[in-house]
Amino acid sequence: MATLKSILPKAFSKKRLTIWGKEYKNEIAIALLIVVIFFVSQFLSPVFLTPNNLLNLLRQTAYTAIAAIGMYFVILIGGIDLSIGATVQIVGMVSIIMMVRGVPVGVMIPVVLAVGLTVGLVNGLIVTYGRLQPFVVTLVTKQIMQGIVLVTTGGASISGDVPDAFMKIGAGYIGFVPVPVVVMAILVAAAFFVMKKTTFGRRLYITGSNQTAAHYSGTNVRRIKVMAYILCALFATVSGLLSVARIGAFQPTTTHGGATGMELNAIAAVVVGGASLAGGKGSVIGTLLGALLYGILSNLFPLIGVTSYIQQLIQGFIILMAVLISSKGKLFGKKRKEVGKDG
Amino acid sequence: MKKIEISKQLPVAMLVVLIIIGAQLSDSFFRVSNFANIIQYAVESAFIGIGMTFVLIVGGIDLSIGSVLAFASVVSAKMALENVSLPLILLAVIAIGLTCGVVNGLLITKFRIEPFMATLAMMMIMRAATFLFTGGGPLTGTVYDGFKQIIKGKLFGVQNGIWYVAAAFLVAALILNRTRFGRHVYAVGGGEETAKLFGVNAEGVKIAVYMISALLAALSGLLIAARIGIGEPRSGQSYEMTAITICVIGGISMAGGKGGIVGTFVGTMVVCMINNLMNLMNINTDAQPIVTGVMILVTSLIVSREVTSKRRLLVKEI
Repeated sequence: MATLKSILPKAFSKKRLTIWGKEYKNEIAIALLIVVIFFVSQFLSPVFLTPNNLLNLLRQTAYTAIAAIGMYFVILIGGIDLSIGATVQIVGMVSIIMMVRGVPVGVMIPVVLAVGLTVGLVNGLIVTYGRLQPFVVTLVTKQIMQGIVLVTTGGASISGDVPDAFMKIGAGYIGFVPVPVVVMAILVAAAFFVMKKTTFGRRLYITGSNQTAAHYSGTNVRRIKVMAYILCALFATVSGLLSVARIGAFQPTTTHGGATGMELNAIAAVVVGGASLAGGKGSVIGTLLGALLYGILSNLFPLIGVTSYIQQLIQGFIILMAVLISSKGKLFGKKRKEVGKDG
Repeated sequence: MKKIEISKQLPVAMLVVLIIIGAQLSDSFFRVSNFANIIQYAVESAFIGIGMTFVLIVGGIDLSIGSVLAFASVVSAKMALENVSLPLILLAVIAIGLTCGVVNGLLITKFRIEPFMATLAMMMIMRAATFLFTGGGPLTGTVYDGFKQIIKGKLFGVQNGIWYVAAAFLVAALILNRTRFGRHVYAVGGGEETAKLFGVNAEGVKIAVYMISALLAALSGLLIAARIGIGEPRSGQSYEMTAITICVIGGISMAGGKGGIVGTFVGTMVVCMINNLMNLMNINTDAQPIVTGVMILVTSLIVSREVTSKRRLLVKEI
């Protein structure tokens, strides 16, 4: 054993590991839960653990995970973005309309990204310079964008000739991995790098945990917040493009009322991953694991014959459990010490 | 010189402008029957708006009202279809409302979950419960006449709906302005710690507020069931949005501690009148959310501008 200890680099020393374990408590918990589900699933369904299903699961997860990473930035700074579902819709509509009219993919993608950027910019500017609650602002922009989609399409789906190059993005494979999964991996890696190694990442954290301190230490709080909303909208745009490229047609869904739909899944993934809506908490890996857990459950439930209503019920309970675990309040008995802050 | 507070006059000004526009645009607008009609259909909006007012004043939010409404609606429809008597139905609806409210309140106070997440989870759970209860589709059949009379009936020649609206606003105004509980609601919203130091049972107030909100949502569910005569599990979707719109237009601050029932009343009237006007003017129903959305943004921007310019005198803000 002594030799093993000497071989192990310093990064794996006991002290480092304890610190590491404390820092990633939430992530480890979800990862364990996922492992348990994988273990149990083979007794529940013979289909679940087949390579085909797992790849499919990863592809399904990719759309949510990408949107969730964007949402993570916004939740980290203490905001919320309820408009990403509507952003996905607008993006889908614009891209399909452009392609049906013969605009090449190389032109369409920058234009669509610009649309997403504008949505994020508007959200961010109204929240910061208009000093309104992000909840209200994004709920309203969601409503407005949904209205625009419905008025433009008249509620009908749009389809037509979509270039093969575009369809390859959604349905293609690199090696044996679906393209959306590759995109997800790249974006997660990029987000991880930004959060760990750049000043911008640090500023996002500090803005979320204490914006007064951030302000006094020289952070342009407003600009950081606007950036977070832009990033969120851009990630949603990418997710929207990928899902449109899968189907090759656009379908306006009118059933999503209130805070349901895509944004709900994304928020759930971020919160299950250990973030707090108060801001300043959470990690990219946690968000990814949260999205993965969500994806696994929504893949597994139909396989073992759980109806969609019960699925929704269980997902509601999972969100509750996740916030309960990550909230600091003791469940019973003594109250949490209050540090001069409104509960 | 005393500056006029735009935020306080704005809702009333909007109402006046709307009435003038309405009178210009359509002959049928400026009639007692049309106003009675507007109020008659404003009952549900008024109820959930009042509930949301209480919740917003303590600085919370309740996203679950639409689902609570739907659940109460299908349960009461089911009971009516099986000829259960009215008092029993009412009792069941009240029980549903209070239970949901208590659960929300406990999750938020005892378990310290953010109101947004707690009521969001509750929204999903109750909506799922509603669909499970009906088995997916609506519950249809013939309900007995007395059940429909809850909303369709008249008292002293005036539609029941108008009585409900009047009663709800009156009671809510009395509670908020004339009782100790009402003052505690404002105190908790204005500053929870301070309120606690003054001996206010902040957690109790919060739980009570969520109970009021859920109770009013459940009662609107009963009214909707009585109106449409079936149990529709999809009813009440995005009602939390309507309630928030009403409150925001009525000048109730989402940060808590500010606003009043008069604002809610004006907000309800503005929202319902806009909808009525847009229907009279034949504006595409798909485009209507755009109009209301822009209106909310503009109103709340004006209000927040004023609030911050006032606050800026005291502290330099980031």
